[in-house]
Amino acid sequence: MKNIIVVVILVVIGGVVIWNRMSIPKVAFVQTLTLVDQYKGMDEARLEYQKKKAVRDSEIDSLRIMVQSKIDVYKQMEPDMRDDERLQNEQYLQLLQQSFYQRAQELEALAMEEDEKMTMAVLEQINSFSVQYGKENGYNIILGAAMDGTILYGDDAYDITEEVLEQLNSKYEDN
Amino acid sequence: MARLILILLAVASFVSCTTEFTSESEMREWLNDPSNGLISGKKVGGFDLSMKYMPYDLLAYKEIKKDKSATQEVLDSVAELYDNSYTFILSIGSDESAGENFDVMHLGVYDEDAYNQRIRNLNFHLDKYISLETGKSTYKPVLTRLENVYGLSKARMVYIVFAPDSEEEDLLVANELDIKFNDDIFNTGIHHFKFNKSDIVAMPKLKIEN
Repeated sequence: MKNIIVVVILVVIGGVVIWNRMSIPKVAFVQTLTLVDQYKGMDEARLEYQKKKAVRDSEIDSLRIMVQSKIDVYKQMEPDMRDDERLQNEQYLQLLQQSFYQRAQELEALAMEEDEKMTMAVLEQINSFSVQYGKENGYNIILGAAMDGTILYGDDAYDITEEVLEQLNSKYEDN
Repeated sequence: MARLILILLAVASFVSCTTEFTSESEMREWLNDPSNGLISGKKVGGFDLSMKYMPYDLLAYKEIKKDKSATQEVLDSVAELYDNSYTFILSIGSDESAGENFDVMHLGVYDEDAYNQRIRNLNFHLDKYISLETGKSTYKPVLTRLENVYGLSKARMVYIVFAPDSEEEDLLVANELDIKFNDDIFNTGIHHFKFNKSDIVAMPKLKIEN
């Protein structure tokens, strides 16, 4: 009888321990800056962005050179011009400069828009992968430790940045 | 006993090793099994993207299957036409595993201009966003074609064909084909879909019954 009581107590204690273990959520955190910075998708997106930027920059440079050369020609010829010719040329150059600044602003806005789109796409890739990684590895919560202090301290044992990064990059390269 | 085990193993390996497909559905099943390395997928931001290799005998079969009297010789001769190229299907749909169910043509499109732009990009400008890298060279598609779904599907499929410009190019002998999709259309970022030549070569051929 005594033995049965001991066994029952042990089973109950064991059950409580297992239930406790199972009810504790599996939590980990990743260092989001490291993840974003070392994600190969980010490197490649930046390269693509730089390529587009180089094309835009060269367009701005060409326009700037064209406007400047017209101003230089005007300055050379200006002393010999009649007043009406001078006025006409100055108005034309003003319009040209305005067009140039407008185009430069447009390209600048386009660059910002593309930069934002590129960053959003990369973050979306990381977020989607993190959700998938969390589900596949049985995590209830994966926290993101960022510079804004969302997590002030985390034990290294709960830091899964390296594992996530490795699989994220592997998935990106489709290996 | 040892002999029996050997015989069983031999039988098992014979049964499991497919040497040829006798139907289109068998072949499609093989293609859709990721472990065979001929389909690769990504899930990003509610989108489900996949790239699938299309073997030339299946492309040929699609052309001749209406003709019930078509023979294996006809299939082989049509397949030869596709032999010097690679065809893939890029599928873009909503990620149903994440509970998404939207028509990819409409998501993020808020006016007619944007919708028309998306249609134009998918129909005529997809080659700007897709390339194939072999390690030595980069190839642009020679053909991209958006499949018309007539409103029956919320996903879209695009046929993409790569072919070398000359016989000297390494496209057809490269061991690894890395297809890069720089998605500026749906804004899901850059994706790589890798295929090994060994997986393509290992695929059994389609045999039709006459």
